[in-house]
Amino acid sequence: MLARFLYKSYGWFYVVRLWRKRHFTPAGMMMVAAVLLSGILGFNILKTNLYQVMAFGFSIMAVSMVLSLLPFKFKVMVNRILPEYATIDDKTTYELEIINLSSKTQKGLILYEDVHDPRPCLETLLSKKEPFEHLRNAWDRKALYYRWLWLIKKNLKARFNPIDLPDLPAGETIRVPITLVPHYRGYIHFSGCIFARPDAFGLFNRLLNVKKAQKMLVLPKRYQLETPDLMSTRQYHPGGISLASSIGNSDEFMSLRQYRPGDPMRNIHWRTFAKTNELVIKEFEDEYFVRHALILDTFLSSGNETLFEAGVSIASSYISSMQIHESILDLMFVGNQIYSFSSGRGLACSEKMLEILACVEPCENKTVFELVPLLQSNIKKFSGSICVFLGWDKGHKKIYQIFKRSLVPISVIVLAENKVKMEEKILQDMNFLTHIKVVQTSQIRQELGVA
Amino acid sequence: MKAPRFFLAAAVLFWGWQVHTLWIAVCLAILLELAGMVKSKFEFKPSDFNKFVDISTVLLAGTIVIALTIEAQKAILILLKWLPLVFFPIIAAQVFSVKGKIDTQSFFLVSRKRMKRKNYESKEIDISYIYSLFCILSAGMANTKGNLFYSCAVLFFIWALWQVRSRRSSFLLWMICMLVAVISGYAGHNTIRLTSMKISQWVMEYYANYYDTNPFKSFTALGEIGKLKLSDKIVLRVSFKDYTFGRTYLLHNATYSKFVISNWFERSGFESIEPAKDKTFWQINPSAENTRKMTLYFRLLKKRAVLSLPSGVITISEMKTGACEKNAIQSVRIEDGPSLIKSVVSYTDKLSYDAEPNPRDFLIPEKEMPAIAKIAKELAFENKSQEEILKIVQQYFLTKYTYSLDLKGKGNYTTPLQSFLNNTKEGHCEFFATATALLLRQAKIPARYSTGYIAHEYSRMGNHLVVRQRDAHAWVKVFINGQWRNFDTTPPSFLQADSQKIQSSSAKDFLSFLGFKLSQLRHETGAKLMNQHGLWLTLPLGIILFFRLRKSNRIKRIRMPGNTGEDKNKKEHGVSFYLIEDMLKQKGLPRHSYETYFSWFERIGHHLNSNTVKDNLQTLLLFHNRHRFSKSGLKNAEKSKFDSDIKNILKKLSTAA
Repeated sequence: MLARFLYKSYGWFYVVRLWRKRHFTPAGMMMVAAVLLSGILGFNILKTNLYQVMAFGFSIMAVSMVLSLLPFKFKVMVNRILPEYATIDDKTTYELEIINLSSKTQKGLILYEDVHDPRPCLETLLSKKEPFEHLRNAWDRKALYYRWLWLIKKNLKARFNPIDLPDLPAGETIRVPITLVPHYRGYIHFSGCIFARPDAFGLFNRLLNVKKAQKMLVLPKRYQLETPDLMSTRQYHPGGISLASSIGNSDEFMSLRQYRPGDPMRNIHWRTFAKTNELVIKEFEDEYFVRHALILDTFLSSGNETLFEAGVSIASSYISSMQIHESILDLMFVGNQIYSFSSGRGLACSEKMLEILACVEPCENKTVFELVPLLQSNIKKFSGSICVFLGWDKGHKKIYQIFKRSLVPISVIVLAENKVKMEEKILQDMNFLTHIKVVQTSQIRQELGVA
Repeated sequence: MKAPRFFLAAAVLFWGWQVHTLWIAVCLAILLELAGMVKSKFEFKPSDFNKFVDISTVLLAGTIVIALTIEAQKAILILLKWLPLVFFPIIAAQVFSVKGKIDTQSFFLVSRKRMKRKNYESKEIDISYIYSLFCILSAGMANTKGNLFYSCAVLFFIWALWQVRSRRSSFLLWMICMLVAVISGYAGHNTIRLTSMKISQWVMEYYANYYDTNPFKSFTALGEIGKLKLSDKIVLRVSFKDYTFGRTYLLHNATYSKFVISNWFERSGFESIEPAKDKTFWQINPSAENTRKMTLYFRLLKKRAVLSLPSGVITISEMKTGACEKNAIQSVRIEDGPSLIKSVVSYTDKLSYDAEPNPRDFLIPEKEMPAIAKIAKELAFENKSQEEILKIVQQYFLTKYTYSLDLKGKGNYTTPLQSFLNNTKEGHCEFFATATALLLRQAKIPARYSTGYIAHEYSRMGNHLVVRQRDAHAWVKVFINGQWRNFDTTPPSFLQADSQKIQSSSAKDFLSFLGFKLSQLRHETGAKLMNQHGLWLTLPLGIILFFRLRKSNRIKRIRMPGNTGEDKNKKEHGVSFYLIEDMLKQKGLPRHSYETYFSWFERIGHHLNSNTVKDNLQTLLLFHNRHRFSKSGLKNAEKSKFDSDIKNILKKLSTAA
């Protein structure tokens, strides 16, 4: 009951606030503040002259309001020239093409971008948890206001500032550059533009809505990561004509390395063997295609979305960093169902993977065990695996063991708010931390040694 | 929104002029305008702005303390008056900073944590208009009379609104709308003033009972049964310069003329007195010679009070109060002020300023007439002088009546006064005063009923007279030899009787004295010190700020690019060609950021009146490019031709529709 009331109130306040922001210019807000302040402070007219300021301010506002009621219409077309992708926290600029189809030059207009209604539904408001919400006081947690603000920001993706348009000459097309910095991944759904015409005093706006639905994808934040060495065995992977075209070794000598099971005898460096009694292999530039698995843990038991976002960012970073034209990368995660996407070597490009990751949502009603059957059936295909886990429990341990038993090299990144505690937990469970790296979400750059 | 040049300084000067602190305002205005003239500015980080906000917060807290110390009742007014000074560190930080804006989070202690976040998106604002608004609001606190404040405030609004006017509207429309707003604003504030005054007058008359002493009506205890419930609470502390031990003083509150059903009434309206000398000096009556002085302290409990004053008051000084009014029969009432009011009263007991006698001063209620007439006959007033009548009346009450605080009602008589005169022959001062007034009226001597206090008790603590609630008294004002004078027929033994019946406690008196001294320290000594030296408190705060900023060693001085020689040269390069761009922009043909000059001229070609203009523009562009980018540049002859061609084309464009 209370939650429903709060939800309705916040929704209503949001609408009023949006209305106020679009209909009042900053000068208009200042004038309202001046009238209110002078009215309150100058209540006793025998003591101050502030009632005179109030009377004048009120007159100005009244005249301004009457002027803003004058009709405002003109024929106009808009089109956004959007970049292919935007990235979280990176400044993105796109252009808005405005064609003034009327016979009159339009001067002094203000433009507001109109995006889809960002208000969350009641279920989302109740089920989602703002990052670090547990640190808020009991009242804030109960009132859900900060959670509401966070969801609004998350749905909006970025802040859109009003733009003072240059003159729009009759019949001319102009392009207006618009800059924004997205803070959340996913699609930004533009629904149209709003042209605002300020009154003579520049206090209140009269609006004109122009519909133009477009969307822009915001990719997750990415770091420049070093790809872990996941090569321990050599495996051939059937993949059709496109994949078979470049299987094998090239003749370019690269380095010497320890013998691994499956290496051809003719590549053994016999001189070193004679000296050291150890099998050393001449390594040539690899032309085998390899298949890596990238397992993303989407099971958010703690409800802390910061962990999840960090996980998505790290997974995206690996996709960007790996030379996937030389290998196939299988991205596996669980949403409403189990997803497995392959990219590289003609299957799909990394951008597709990033698009998928841009839209992935945390899964709260399933466990990581859901991935186990998929892994078991495909384990023989993989040459190596990178797992990004949001915690550590039996499911994570099981996945780790599946790869280990199949002798598939694995690199595990476990994200945690408290690194020390998580390491202790894993040590208690596994007695070792080999190939497992615990990363504190607040220090991803430092922990992963990224540039 | 950035305020235009000189706007801030003008607003500060206006504030200083209105609140009589022009010298401070001049200093602040010079500092603010200096920022626009100096060649270098400071690179403040958000944390540095936080420090300036902190300083202003401390100043604000200090001002609140000072305001509460000086005059608690007017604390808000004092605070508002000094707001421009309080917030000066913030505006100074803004105007001297490279950014010229302040992050909104700096103003809120709680939200400052957000500024440390990695992805924090700052929301910076220019506070110059907000600060100017505070200056105008603070100037309004001075409450100057006339239309000067309105005119100046309107000018500031017009100045500010001119900056944000819409480019769509013509100058004429803007001016007409502004004129309408100015006139309606003027009419509006006059209407507000008149309506408010009428309402307040009506409310004051309707709720006149709100006053400690109602100057329009006096409820007497005549006719009540029981005992008068008076306490020993000290209500006034009075010191007379010419005090001699044992002397008593009548301190008058209010006077009434009409007696109806055991209550006295008066209908003289009050008129406002204008203060002088820092609003603490009040000229009550015209000056006179041989004045005497008394000092009065009392607590203002209900925001309003009627003063207890001796007869013939000329001036009241050192009285901090919001408003002071008096009526024709010398009742003085005040409104607003600190909880302890001090009044230094200059008075003469030789003159009376009460209104001349009128027919109401002879009225005797019909019900009281039989008893009054009977006694008048008994006293045989005929053929006696006024002085003799007074002596007879005085003697009559002294010998035949006794003082008593017991209230015996009216018994079998029609009125309590009849019972007092004919039956009980004992009562308190209200009986004596009422009976005396009516008896004198019967003898054709104008008489009025006065209420107030009698000051007689000397207190060694504080070396002054203390007046208790039990010292409340009623007497008669009688018009003799062209002057109103006090005439008290209550037997002198009443003081002793009151003291015996309502005994005072030394411990209570001591506590009261202690409270009085503390209040005196707060409202008198403290306020005086704060008034005179309060501004010096800003000095240590300034020193703290200076050292904090210096210690942090983070603030850099940056030379503004606009003033460097290099930039000047750049501007000079083909500056005249850019005038064409500005001109075309004004004509609604702006160049877009993605366009080259050449493609722009191609696009707008059909908007220009003739092809020759377009061709000329393209030729000028070639010259401009050579001048701007070529190593050799233009020769002198070419340069002068280039300049003259630009002038010609600007002329053509300006005349074109």
